[in-house]
Amino acid sequence: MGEENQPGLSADQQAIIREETLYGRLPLLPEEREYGPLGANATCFAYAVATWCFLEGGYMANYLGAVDGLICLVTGSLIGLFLVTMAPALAGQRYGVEAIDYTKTAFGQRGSRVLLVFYLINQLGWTGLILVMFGNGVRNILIAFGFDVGTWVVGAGVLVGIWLCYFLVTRGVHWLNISNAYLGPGLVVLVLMMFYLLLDGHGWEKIAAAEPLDPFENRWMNYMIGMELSIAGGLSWWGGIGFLARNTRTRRSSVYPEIIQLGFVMALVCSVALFSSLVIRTSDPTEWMIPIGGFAMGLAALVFVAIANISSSAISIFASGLALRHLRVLRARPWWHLVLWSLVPCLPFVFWPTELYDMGSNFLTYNGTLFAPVVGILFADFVFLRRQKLNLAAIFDDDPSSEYYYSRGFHWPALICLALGQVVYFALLDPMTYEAHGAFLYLTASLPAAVAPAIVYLLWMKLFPPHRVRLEEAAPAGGSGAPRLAQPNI
Amino acid sequence: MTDEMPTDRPGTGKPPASHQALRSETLNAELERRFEIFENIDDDDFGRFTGTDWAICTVAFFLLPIVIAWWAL
Repeated sequence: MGEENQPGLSADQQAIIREETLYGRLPLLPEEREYGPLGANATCFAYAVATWCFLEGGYMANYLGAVDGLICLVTGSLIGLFLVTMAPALAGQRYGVEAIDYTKTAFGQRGSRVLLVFYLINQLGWTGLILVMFGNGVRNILIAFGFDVGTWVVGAGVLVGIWLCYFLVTRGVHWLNISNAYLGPGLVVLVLMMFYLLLDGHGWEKIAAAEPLDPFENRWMNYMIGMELSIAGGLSWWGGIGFLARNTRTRRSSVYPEIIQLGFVMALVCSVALFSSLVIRTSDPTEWMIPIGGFAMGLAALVFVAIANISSSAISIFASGLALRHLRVLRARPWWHLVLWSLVPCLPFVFWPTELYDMGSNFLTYNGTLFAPVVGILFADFVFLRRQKLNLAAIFDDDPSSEYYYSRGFHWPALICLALGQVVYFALLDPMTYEAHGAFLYLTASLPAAVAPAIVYLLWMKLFPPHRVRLEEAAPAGGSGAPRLAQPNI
Repeated sequence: MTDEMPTDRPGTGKPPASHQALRSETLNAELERRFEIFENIDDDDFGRFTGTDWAICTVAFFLLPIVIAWWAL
């Protein structure tokens, strides 16, 4: 770390800076960043091949067969990743800021908390679903050994999973590092093996001919739901993109690996789950592993995936805990408080695991509702309005004269456009019931929900540009004069 | 991401006020230092992302997937 040997700082100060660089919000300097092109690809690959792929592929099997599903997974994921990557990645890379801090530029210091809520919903929703998958895995392992267990085991499994997450996340980096070092490559081997066994045991003809599990009558509708699920899956990477980009050394490393690995490669992994679900006729990944792999191999896969589920959940809880540090009231709390607060919203999954798990595809689509308008507005703001230039100091300044403080901390045009995007989405598709407007069959819901608010926001900003309160000359550029931060928010 | 796991343990109490003051003072000064560094770094040091990159990304990752998805429907 470049800051470790700063002269004139005490050991305590060095430690504070180091912690805030590694675990907090300090803008990362180029020499502090971990990922070159190879590192960025490897890290994104590790993110892409995770247990949520099994869920997304399973959801797709409800509506589409192998070929249509594969096309939707690949094209939809790429579209979603393109939208979610370009602005946050280029901004995060150039200024070294993390995702929520970056949104302050468009939404305001306090307005960005809306995005924080979206981010937490995203992280904790996925965590809950993965923990139910863990509970299902435990139940299916017991059933495989001949125990006649009821569905209560799933809820109990979720509770155990929550405790394991708490244990892992609060005990520090070492345990999670050890498990992740083996789980990532292990999952790659598992997916390749499953794909081989699937092709060997059933053949491509049978896979391609398999009907979807629970489709609508209209094939076109099924296809567009598949596209929507895939785009929403891509959009739900929003928080992760900011984290990854901030740690990359070059602009290209912040964009291409994210889109290719998280979009294209993840879609391929999801497609293995899609094919398996279609052949075994269940969208629950914990139910198709033994039929495909045989007792010993399938059981080993189930155990392995159960462990991987805990690891994936722990990472999400870790990210949620960090995000909670944006709230002033929690900023100085000990880490275990933040972890506990992150786990509390997962408790409903203990009591209603099956009901909530069955709503998984709705949750995935709901991510589109949340993030499509966000990415549209951020894209318009960063690329077209600000021409890729941000005021870094203003991001960390809560003073009312700061550029991104806007009106009492809220940038209402962006927030109103955000609401508009959600209205557009709901008008085209209800993510809970999948009741759709006719235009959805041509447009999807996510694309108009991203484009419409972006255009309105752009026009609004052109017609009524925000008042830049503090004059540039009041803050000397690059000098050793007065501090640029009137009211620091770090 | 996992390399960045905090190491504080359960039971760690709320930091004393003096530590919080030191933390604020240190981080504010560090922020100022970093702003200055960022202002003095040449834009090209962050790597280039040219118009060609934008064109490649827009076509390959947005327009082409839309065309393929429509074609396959």
